[in-house]
Amino acid sequence: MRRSLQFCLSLLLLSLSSLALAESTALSVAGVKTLKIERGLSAEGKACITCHQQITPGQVADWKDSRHAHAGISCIDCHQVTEDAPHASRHANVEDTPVFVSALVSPKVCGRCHVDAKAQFDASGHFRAYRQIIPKDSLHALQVVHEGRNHPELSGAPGETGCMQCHGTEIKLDENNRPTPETWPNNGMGNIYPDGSTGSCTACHSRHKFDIGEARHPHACASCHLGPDHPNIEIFNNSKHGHLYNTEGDEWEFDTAPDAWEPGDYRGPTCATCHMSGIGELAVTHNVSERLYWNLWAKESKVRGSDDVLSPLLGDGPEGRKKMKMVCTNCHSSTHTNNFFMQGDKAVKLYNEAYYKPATEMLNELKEKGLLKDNPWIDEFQITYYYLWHHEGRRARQGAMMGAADYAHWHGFFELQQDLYKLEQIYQKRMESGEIE
Amino acid sequence: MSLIRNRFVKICVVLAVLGVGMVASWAALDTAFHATGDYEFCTSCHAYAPIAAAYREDVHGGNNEFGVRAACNDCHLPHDNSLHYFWVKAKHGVVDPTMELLKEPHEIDWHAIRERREEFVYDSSCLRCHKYLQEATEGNRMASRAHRRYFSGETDRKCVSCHENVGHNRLGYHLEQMGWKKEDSEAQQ
Repeated sequence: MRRSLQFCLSLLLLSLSSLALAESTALSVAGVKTLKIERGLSAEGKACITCHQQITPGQVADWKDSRHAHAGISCIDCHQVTEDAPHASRHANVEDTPVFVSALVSPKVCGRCHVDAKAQFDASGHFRAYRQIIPKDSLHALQVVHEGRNHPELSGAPGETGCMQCHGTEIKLDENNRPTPETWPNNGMGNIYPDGSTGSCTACHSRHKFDIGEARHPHACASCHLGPDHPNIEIFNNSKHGHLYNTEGDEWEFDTAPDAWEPGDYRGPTCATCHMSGIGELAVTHNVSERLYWNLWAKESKVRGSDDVLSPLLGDGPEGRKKMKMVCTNCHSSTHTNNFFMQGDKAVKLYNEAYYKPATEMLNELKEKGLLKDNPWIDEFQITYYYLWHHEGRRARQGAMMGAADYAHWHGFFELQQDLYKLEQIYQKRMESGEIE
Repeated sequence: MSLIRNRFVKICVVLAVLGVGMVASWAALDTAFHATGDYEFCTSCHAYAPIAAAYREDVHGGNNEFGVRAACNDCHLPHDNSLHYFWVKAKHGVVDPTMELLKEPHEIDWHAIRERREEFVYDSSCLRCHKYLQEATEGNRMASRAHRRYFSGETDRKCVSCHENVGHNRLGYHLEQMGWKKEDSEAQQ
């Protein structure tokens, strides 16, 4: 009797434990965790999440970690468009609903909630990123004729994989209202969207997290502001500010609320701190031109003073300088600040007077006498002139104004003097012989 | 001494006639305003066919579980004061039928006019029905952020700046269907 009871008990235990085992196996087999979110989302809104967590889990993973998710803003709030929108398209699987969507989420959509950010962006130099290159014939020739080799089918490649990815483009639609491969995907700052709005919020706040902290890191700017012609991230790394960031930036606080991100959260500024953030008395702005004095990328540096958003001199130079100094004084004395700008201004003026001016005078004279080749890209004089202002000249000016000694000097003025000597030699040879070598 | 000669009686009669006249003229005006301010009257003009179609499909046009609807007058006339209301009503009463007579319906560029919606949909009208909007949407995660700016006067946006298609949700679709092509509108501009 006792033995049979023991047998029965052990059988029961065995069956129980195997049941538990089966249950835990079943759990682990369901590898994809199912997100079930209510929070006032519409049926269609929930459907996006349900499917896309399986199809594109990366997108949903980003989103659920975002402030949008906290605020109850989900896929459909940004991707749904009106039926008569130029980019309205039917999503597969939901053709029986009144929902039209687009992969394209324009700044107009972001601006529905982020009203100030959009208005400030629309008044900034970033707004012009694509629009400013529309009328530049020499640039189109460089992309299509020279870089694209005038290839019957492939000549668009340099522009599409290069220029457009930072500057943006006018996004075109195919017969199904979906963006064409010639114009999408890209994260270009100055995209013109089919709804007419301009910009690219995701250039700095990458999708689908749209993180404020991400845009405060210098990497956000660095994805475009780098390289030989505007080495701004290299300049930052070279500067004392970059020195601090690279030493201990990973310990700083980056997701403090807008306008409340102040010294203490960080020990040194990033790009965003000086050019955009609310610091001290200054309010946060998405107008990156607001705190600038010079134009430091044009052939000649002039003081800003224009209301026209398409002007390279957009902004108010003296007012911009005042604001930038207000940034500096959160950490620096007025002597330090004033002397720093005197050093920088001196370098910019030297470039203007001692490099840009004589080089341009020689260029104009050679042009007048017919001593320039029609194709600038096989003409040693014109190539060197281009490097003088577009590469070396910018490095000297931007390096000096942002505290990067190596860029002001070795990549800047050292190269500039070499360029100028070379230009002078070619100029003299052509003027004396009356012909192009 | 006859009653007619009595000064007091005279005054009373004059006042009574005046009062009756005023009430009568108010009744006449009010009846006229309402008779000419609703879907049936306004959409009898040809140019208004797509607007009517979009309206009848919309929540504000009665497509809701209670069958309640806002009349054209309710949104497209201001409700801040009676004189303003009267003036705008009179203006539309003259301009709109004149345009209907002078123009072919398709000459009216509805697409462009829609862009100017803030000029002919009045916040005072929206807020007459949505009287407790501020309190009602305080707990709404998405609406409260926008409405807070509106009610604290931080923005010069109007209701329809954000609620772009309210009242005529699928107007774009109906315009295209009835021959008002968006491309034609853009070409004209």
